[in-house]
Amino acid sequence: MVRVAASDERAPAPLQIDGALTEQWLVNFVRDEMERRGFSRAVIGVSGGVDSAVTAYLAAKALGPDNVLGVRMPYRTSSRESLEHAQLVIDALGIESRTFDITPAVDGYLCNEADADGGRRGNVMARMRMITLFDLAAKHRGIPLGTGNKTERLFGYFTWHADDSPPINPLGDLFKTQVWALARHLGVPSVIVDKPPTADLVVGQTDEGDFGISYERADEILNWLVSGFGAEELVARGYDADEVAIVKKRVEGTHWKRRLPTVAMVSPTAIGESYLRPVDY
Amino acid sequence: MAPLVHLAIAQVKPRKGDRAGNLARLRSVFAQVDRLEPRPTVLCLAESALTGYFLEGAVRDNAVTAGTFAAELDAAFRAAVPDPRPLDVTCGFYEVWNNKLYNSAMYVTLGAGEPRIAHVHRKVFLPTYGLFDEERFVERGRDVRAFDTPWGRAAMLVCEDAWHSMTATIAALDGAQILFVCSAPPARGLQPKSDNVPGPASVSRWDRLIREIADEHGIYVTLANLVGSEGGKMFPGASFVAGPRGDVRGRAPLWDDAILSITVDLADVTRARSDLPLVADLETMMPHLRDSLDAAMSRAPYAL
Repeated sequence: MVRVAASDERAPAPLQIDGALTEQWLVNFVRDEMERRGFSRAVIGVSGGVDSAVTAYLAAKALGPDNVLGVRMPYRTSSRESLEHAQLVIDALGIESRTFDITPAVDGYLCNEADADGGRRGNVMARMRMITLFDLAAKHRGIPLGTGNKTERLFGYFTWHADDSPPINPLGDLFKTQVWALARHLGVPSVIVDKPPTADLVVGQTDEGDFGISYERADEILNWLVSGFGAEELVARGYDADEVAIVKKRVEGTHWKRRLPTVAMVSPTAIGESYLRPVDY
Repeated sequence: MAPLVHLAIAQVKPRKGDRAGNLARLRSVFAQVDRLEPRPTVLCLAESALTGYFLEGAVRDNAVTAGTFAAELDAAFRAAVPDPRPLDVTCGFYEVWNNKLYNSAMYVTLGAGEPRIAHVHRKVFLPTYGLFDEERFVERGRDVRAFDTPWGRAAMLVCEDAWHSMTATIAALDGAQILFVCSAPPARGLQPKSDNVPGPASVSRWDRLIREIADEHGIYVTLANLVGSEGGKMFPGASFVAGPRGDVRGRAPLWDDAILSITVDLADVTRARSDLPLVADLETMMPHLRDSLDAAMSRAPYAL
C-alpha cells in the first residue's frame, strides 16, 4: 500500500520570505509614501538593533544615501555596543548621521520625579527620542520613518505615541523573524542580526527574556492566531499551552495600543466612525 | 474572417482624489497609445483608475455619472490626439446612477463625434471583509451581460466579480469573446513560490484565476491592474492577457507604470472551443442545471 502524506491545507501563510521581492516591495513603499507626501528626506533613529538597521537599508535604497539621516540617541546607560552597531549601519550605507545624547533632556525631567520606576524612565526616554526625531525631521524638511515590527506591535511591546508615531513604517507588517530574514538578505552586518534583541534600557535585559518566549516560537503562534486559529486548536496541534497563553495574553491585553485614542461619540458625523477619509486622501 | 483585435492595457498610478491631475496623466497615455504600431482598438484601464480605489466616504465626492465620465475621457482624448481616430476604452470609475453610488466599469468609444457608451457594468460582488469595506460605500450591481462592439462581443467584470466563476460563465454564455477585467488588488504574500509568476502570492492567485476563466470558457481575458500605493497598500500591476486556452499572451511588469500592447485573433476562440467545447456543453445542459440551481437554493429534498 502506498502511504501518502497529506499537507496541512489549513496552515496560515508561511513565515519564510522571498528576500528580493520583499526588498523591492518595501523600497517601492518607502519611495511612494515619501513622494506622495512631498518629501525626499527620511530621518531614522538608528539604535544599533536589527529593525532600525533594516529600515535604514531600505530607506537608503529607496531615496539614496544622501537623503537619509541616521540619528543615534544614546542615554547615559545605553551600551557602547549599541552605539558601535549603529555606526556600522551608518558607515555601511554612507548616510548622514547625528548623535544626540538624550541624557540632559531626560534627566532634566526625571530629576523632578526621582522615584520614577524603570518603566516610567524607559517611556520618558522613548518619548524624548520621538521628540528628537520629529524635530530633526522638521529641521531637515524630512519625515521620520518607523522601525516597529509586527511582533512587537502585536505584543504592545513599544511606548505608545513614541515608537509607533512616525507616519511611515515599512516593517510594521513583518514578524521579527521575517525582519531577520530580510536583514540577512540586505547584507546587514551579522553582528547586528545575530545578537539577542534588547531595548537597551537595563543592562542584561533582552526582549525574549521579558516575553518568556523566543521570537521564533512567538512568531509561529502569532501567525496562527492572527490567521483565525484559536488557542485550543494550537495546543491540539502540539504547541506548548503555556507559550500559547503567553502570546495570547500579550496580544489581548494591548489592543488599545494599536488604536488611536478613544473619543466619546456623540454625533452622527464622528471622525473615524461615520466621517471616513483614508490617510492619503 | 474573424478580426484581429489590437489591445493595449495601461497600468498607471493615479493620485488619490486628484481627478484633474489623473486626467492630465491620461492625456499622455492617450498620446502614447495613439502612436503605437499597430494602433490599439481597445485601451484597457484599471478599476477606479482616475480616482484611486480606497476613498471611503469620499466616494460620493468623486462619483460621476456615466455620461460625465465619458465626456471627461473624450475631452482628454481629443486634447491629447489632435486628429483623433476612434478608440475604444474600458475603464473603472465610481458612478452615480439613479442617485445611488456604484463601483463601475465603462466601455466607451472616443474620438468619433459624441462619446458612445457601449456598456456600463456595475460591480456585483463587493468585497467587504479583511481590508475591504466596499459595501459600506457603494451599492451592488445586479447583472452581468455581454454587449456588442464594432469588432465582436465583449463583457466586463470588476475585481471580485471575477472570483465567482458564475459571472464569467454568464458572460461567455451571453456571447463574450473578450472578457475585460479591471481591478485594484492590493498585493499580499511575501513567501517564496514555486511558480513562474513574478511577484507576491496574490499575483499568482490572480494569474490562476484569469487563466482558468479563459481556459474553461474558451475566451480571451484581459486583466488591467492599478500600480502605485494607497495608505501602505501596494498595487502590483502585472496586468496581462490570457488566451482562450488559458495561455499567457503577454504580461506587464510588476509595480511600475507600463503599457502592454497585444494583438489577439478572435479565430483562436473558435479553435479553442472546437478542441474543448465546454461552453457548448453548458448551453445544452443549462435548462437542467437551472432546475438544479433552483432546487439547491430552495434546499428542496433530492428524490432518488
